[in-house]
Amino acid sequence: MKRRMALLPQLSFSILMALSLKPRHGYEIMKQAEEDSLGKIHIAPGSLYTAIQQLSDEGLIEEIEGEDKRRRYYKLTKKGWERLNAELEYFDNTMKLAKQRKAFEAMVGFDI
Amino acid sequence: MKNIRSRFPVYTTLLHLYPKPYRERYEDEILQTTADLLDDTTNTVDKFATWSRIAIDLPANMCRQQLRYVGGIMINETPNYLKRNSLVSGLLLLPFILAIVANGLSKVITGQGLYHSWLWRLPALCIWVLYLPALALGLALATYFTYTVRDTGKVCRPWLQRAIDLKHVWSLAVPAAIAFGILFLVGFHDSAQCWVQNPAHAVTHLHQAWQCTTNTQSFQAFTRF
Repeated sequence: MKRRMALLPQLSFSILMALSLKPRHGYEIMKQAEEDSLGKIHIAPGSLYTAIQQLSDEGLIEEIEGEDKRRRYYKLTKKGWERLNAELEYFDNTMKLAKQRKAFEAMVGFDI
Repeated sequence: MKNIRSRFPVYTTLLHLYPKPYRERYEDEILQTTADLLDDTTNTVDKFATWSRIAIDLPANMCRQQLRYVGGIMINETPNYLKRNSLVSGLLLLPFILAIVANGLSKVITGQGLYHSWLWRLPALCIWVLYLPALALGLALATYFTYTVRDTGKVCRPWLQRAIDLKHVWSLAVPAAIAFGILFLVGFHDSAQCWVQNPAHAVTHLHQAWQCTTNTQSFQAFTRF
C-alpha cells in the first residue's frame, strides 16, 4: 500500500525548487523563488528561515560550506530530492488529469 | 556582522522576540539577508515595501516560532505527569465554561438565561461552580509542588529555578489561574459586583468602590476569618 503524502507548503516547495539547481545561501534562495514564481511570491527573511529550519529538521536540506564564509549555504539531501520528485510527480499527474478533463469538457460541449 | 547589527539596531532588538535557539541559529543570516535585500532596492518606495513586508512578517513568524518552541518543550522536555495533570485540570474547568456559554447562547436564542434550569440549582450548581474548579486548582497546585520539589531527571535544576520555570509549568498555571479566578469570583461574588458592574465608575470613584466592597457580607466574613 502506498503511503499517503502531505503536500509541502508553497514556500517550502519553492525553496526545494530553488535548491534543485545548485546549493545556495538564503538570499539566493529568496531571489530564485521570486524569479520562479514570476514575481508573484515575495518572501520576508523571517518566513524564509522558518521554512529553512523546518526543511532542515525534516532532513530535506542540509547546510554546507560555500564560497562566501559569512553565509551558510544549503543543498538538497537525498531525502530532499526524493521528496521534490514525489511532489513534481503529483503535480504532473494533476496536470494530466486537468488536461483530460479539459478534453472531456470540449467533447461534451459544456463547462464542468 | 557587528556592522549589520549597528545598521539595523531596531530590527536587531526586535529579533530578540524570537526564541533563543532559533535566534542563535538564524539571527546573523536573517540580518545578512535583510541587508542584501535592502542593498538590492534602488528607490525609497521599494525600501519602504521591503520594510513593510518585514514588519508584517515579524509578529506572525515570531508567534509561530514561539509556539513551535513551547510545543517542542511540551513534547520533549515536560514530564508526562505534568502534561497529564494539566489536561485533567483543564477538563475539570470545562463544565463551568460550557455552562457559561450555554447560558449566553440561551440568552441570545430564547431571550432568557438558564437561571431557572436544573443547571443553576443545587447540587448541580455547586458541582460546576465550586467543586470542579476547586478540584482543578488543587490538582494543579499539587502537581506544581510535586514538580518543584521532585527531581525527574529530565529537567534537573534547583527547586527555585523549577518553581519559576514558566516554560514547563505554563500549562499548569493557565488552568490554575482560571480556577482561582472562578473561586475568587464565587467567594467574593457580592464584592465583585462593586467593581464589575460599572468598572469605569469603580476606577474613577475608588473610595466609593472600596467602601462598597468592605460593606459586603463576603468581605466582612473574610476579614473576620
